[in-house]
Amino acid sequence: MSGDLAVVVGYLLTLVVWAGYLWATRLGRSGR
Amino acid sequence: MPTTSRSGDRLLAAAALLAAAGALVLGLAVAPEDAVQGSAQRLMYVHVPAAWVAYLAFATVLVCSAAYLLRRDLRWDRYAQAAAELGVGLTALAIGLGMLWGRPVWGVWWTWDARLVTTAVLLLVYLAYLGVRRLADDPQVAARRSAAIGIVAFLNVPLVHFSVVWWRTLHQPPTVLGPDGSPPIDGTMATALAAGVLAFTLAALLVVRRRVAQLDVHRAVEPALGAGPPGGHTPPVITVAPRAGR
Repeated sequence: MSGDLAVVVGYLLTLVVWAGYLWATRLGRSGR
Repeated sequence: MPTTSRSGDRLLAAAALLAAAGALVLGLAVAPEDAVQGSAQRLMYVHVPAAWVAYLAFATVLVCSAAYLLRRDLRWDRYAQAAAELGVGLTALAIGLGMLWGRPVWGVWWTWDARLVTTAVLLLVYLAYLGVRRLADDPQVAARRSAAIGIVAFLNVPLVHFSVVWWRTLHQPPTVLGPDGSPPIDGTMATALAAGVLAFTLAALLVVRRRVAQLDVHRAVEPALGAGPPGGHTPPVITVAPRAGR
């Protein structure tokens, strides 16, 4: 894997993780 | 959620978004390419904040666990839970980003290095913490057990941080939080890193606030729903009957 591709994948992964947390913690969605 | 809390969340979200945009520009466009590692070094602007904010989340678990044991107020327990859930995700992210960096720079995705192994153990310990939380039906019992684990588990954090100092590791020693306190890092690179840390910290605050609000709501409606099985929810009983006179 090239450095450029690693950077693109890494930043996208970061974005997905934060988007996931914001989606999972929206009010109206219950969870223990 | 109260109106003040919602407006606070909106303010925090706007600040996090602004910081994230700044961190992206600084990390991907303004900061110079590393002379040795090339573009892969730009992963440090997200890898390091993920690790640091995970440490911060686990420190929050420690403080809130101690506060729960002192006060027996379940709100402290809910903060501990929210912080642990975030810390686990950020630790996994830090490991994933480290692997993406390791392949082009070290030539391997993974190696049995002290920093990597202690970080993997940290992830497993806090996953176990989240698992223990679901074992007891009584919220006070669950909170008491998890608070004890939340305090002991934090011993892993200094172990991870100082693993690169205490053992000979392939992973580089701390660049910014080194034992001598002198940061051997380019100014623009340090600014990009600081912007990443700020963006991650603001986003973490927002996520923890939203998660605690969600848990507060769940706690408030739980008695109405009845005690459900661990990890599940008992749906409210809805009776359907024909209208009188038909």
